[in-house]
Amino acid sequence: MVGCGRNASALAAGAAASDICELTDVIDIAPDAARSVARAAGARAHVGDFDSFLESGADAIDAVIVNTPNDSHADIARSAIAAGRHVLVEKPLALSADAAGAVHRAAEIAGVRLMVAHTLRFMPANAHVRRALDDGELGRPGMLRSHRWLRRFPGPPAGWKHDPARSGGLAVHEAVHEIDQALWLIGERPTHVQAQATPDLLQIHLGYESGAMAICGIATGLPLGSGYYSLALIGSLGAAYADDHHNVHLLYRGGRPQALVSDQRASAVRAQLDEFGSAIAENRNPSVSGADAVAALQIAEAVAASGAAGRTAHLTESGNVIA
Amino acid sequence: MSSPERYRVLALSAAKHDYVALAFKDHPRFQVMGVSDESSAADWVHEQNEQLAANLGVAYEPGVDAAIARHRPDVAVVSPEAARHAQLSVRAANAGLHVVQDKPMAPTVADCDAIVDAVERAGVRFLLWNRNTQPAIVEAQRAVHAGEIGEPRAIHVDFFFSKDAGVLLGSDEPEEIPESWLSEGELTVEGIYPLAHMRHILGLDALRAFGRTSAHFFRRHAERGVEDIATVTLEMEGGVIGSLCIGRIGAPSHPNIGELRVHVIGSTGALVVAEPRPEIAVYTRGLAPEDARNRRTDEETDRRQVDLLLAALDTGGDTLLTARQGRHIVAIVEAALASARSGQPCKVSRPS
Repeated sequence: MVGCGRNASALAAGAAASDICELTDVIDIAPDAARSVARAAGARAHVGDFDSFLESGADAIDAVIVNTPNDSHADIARSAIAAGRHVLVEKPLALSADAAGAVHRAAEIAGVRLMVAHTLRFMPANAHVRRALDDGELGRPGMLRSHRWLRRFPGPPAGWKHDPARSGGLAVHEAVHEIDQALWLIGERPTHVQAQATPDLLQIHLGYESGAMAICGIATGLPLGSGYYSLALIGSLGAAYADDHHNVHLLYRGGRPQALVSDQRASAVRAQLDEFGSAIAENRNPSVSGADAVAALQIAEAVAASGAAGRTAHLTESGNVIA
Repeated sequence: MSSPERYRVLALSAAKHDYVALAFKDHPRFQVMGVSDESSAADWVHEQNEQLAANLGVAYEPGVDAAIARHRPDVAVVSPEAARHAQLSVRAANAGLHVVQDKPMAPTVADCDAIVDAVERAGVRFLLWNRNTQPAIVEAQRAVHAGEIGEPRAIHVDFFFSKDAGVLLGSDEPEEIPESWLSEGELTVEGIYPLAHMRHILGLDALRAFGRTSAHFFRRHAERGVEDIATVTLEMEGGVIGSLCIGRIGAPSHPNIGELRVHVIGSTGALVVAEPRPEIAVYTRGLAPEDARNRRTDEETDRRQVDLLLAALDTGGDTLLTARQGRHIVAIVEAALASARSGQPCKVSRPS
């Protein structure tokens, strides 16, 4: 795993729970971060950048998890691909659809598996919604509504997530989750994108050729709490509601009343790593491909363009954006 | 001038619904005097009016002017077909009656302007019937206005009716709904409720709307070219972001009447309220799964609205949803529908 920042402990915990993946090495330019995560994960710590790790001899590893700031995802992924390693890249795959497309093509040429961490697909509640859709219980999807609220980015305002040049901004850094989710559940590419943005709110309104529609809201400025998530998918035969996990996944343990909030994210990270490992073992493409990540980034660019212009962005078949 | 002991109410048509007039039945400060309508109304309208009159224990008397002259009412409850809303409400206001009117306010903003003009010239109160007295909405409004989540930044409302509108698109089953059925789209007709929630909770108007509409599920909607689902995003006063998801989503799609959920994000917190979430769910041996409908506990929504109207009449204050506010809601719907046709956000028209 390259990058031992905030998300690293969740990935390490997911790997520890996985039957398929084993985290053997962690890499970071910050010695304390590398050693701390390595110690908790029972892995080897390497202090330095990814290229120095490769030069130090990395024969034992099959795959690389890229968990660095967004502006380095594409370069590190390409280095790993060039070294013949399968790659799981945290979202976004790159800061632009073009750059993401180059990584995707490199992986195809090299014959390695490239997966992008669009983790919402692996949240247990969402997986149930998708199964209901696949089983025909919901009929033809018509409307998707989702809300995802996050706490304020931790750390000082100077952190990379606060710098759009490094994070890609809210559309690229966060909304690719919602966009990928919409692609996954509606099953077609939107033709219309209308976005409204403030520094800590983003609202995406997607229209589809079939008549389906989606509104996805993201808030990053909640001062307290552990976040909030809800989703409703309305189909021609029925509807599915993946409610806030605070309401629907309470674990009662007997004795004195005690409710624990189940950790959907931990389950999702583990399921995501299992899928990545299984795809490698079975020599098949992962369920979230490089092409999926490119498609999500194309739409994220349309979101950014619409938000900036105050107009609707139209997506052409070739992926061009007209705002 | 002191308030009357009881306000005299005349119901003008029950072509659309009877529940607005029925909300006044047995209220200690209102007395329903009769039911009337235009003599030229369709036969089926006269039949529904007669039924309402029987339910209220009063007479049905076609001929609006004569009924007003005979009963000298204080309040008209107006619920004809939407196309006649403005006609009957303006007539009532011109006769000096306060007006309680069913939704939608009118098919066009121009019709709404005529109502606003008549009501304001006559100096009477106007209430557009709404659901802002539902407990979840009352609580959301209270929390926001008490400053519990700081300055509002965004409001999102989901408003889904779990009812059918005939057979599904692509079905080869015979249509259940007669060809004479003239229902309009869900945003057009039902949009008043969630948009009134937004207005009530935040006290803000919308400036621009972007809408998507689709006749996605039901064959009769598709044949008539009206929407069964719609999504609307709003640019509101003060930079607040708004959104609405609305639709007739089919009978099997919710255990209760449908989802009504409001999310409000503020500068220091956020709130989620849901009505009608399942309030009481009863499961019992021998109950078929399809019968396990959730039960609601709140039966007082309409009564609270009548009580608030009473307060407005007694004090001369504003009603819960005034003619100008109702006109603004129709303007939002009109902008959203225009946006759905043009593919671009549209300005919400302001009164001239």
